[in-house]
Amino acid sequence: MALNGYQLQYKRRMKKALALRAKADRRARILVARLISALSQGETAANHIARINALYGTTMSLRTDLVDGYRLSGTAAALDQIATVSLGGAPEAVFVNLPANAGDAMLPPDADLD
Amino acid sequence: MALTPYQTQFKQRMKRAIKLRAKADQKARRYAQLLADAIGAAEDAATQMDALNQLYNVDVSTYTLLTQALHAEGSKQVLLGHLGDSTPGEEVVLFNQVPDANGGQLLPLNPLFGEVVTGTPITPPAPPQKVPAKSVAVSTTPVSDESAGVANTAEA
Repeated sequence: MALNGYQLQYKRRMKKALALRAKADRRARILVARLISALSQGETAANHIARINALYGTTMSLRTDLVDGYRLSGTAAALDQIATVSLGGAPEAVFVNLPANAGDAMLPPDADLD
Repeated sequence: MALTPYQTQFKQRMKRAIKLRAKADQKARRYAQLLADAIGAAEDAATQMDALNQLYNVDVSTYTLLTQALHAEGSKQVLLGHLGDSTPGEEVVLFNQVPDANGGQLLPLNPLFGEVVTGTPITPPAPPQKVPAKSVAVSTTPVSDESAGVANTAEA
């Protein structure tokens, strides 16, 4: 059975929204990993500076404000936990239950959804 | 006045460590901003999914598990909050007060600072654990590291 206009419109709109959702997921997943590694690099630098401070009796600050802020907030650990518990990738979209109503007519166009 | 080898070594090592610190800051800054943007994009997508769910009376999840967790934890606010708090870029390093000690001689090379160690590595001698002979006989409790250190510096 061919899909009517209403159903086609739903399918198109949903596909677009799902693609956005999946894209944001991919971006977030990559960036969470990168941010965690950058913050761990900051900790490595802090270790080096601490060693130098101890060796030469200096008082250089170990971290920049930004890295220290994330460290105090436990951001790296929180992000790591979030990334670990969530499954990889977006849930699959299933189109089996296409709603058909409104007399099969398409809904009015929508700038966001179309 | 020329710097002693000790001072030059300090300068080299500190410069390298500062560079690493600045690099990490730069990266963290960039990725934090991008991640906040990605969470924003996920929130936009969720708004659309929400509208679709209402319009067509369906029930598709608005977020993925990852973006939902990031959204719920307020990660975006945390990320942007620290970005707003701190100024970008490298802190200026002033080398006008280079410490001088060790008779101006180099400290042993250390791979931690990216230096190639040739020959046998010099391991720093363990702090001597001197226990006064008298107190051994009297008390059986071990002298703690801290008090031992104080005693050693007093003797030295």
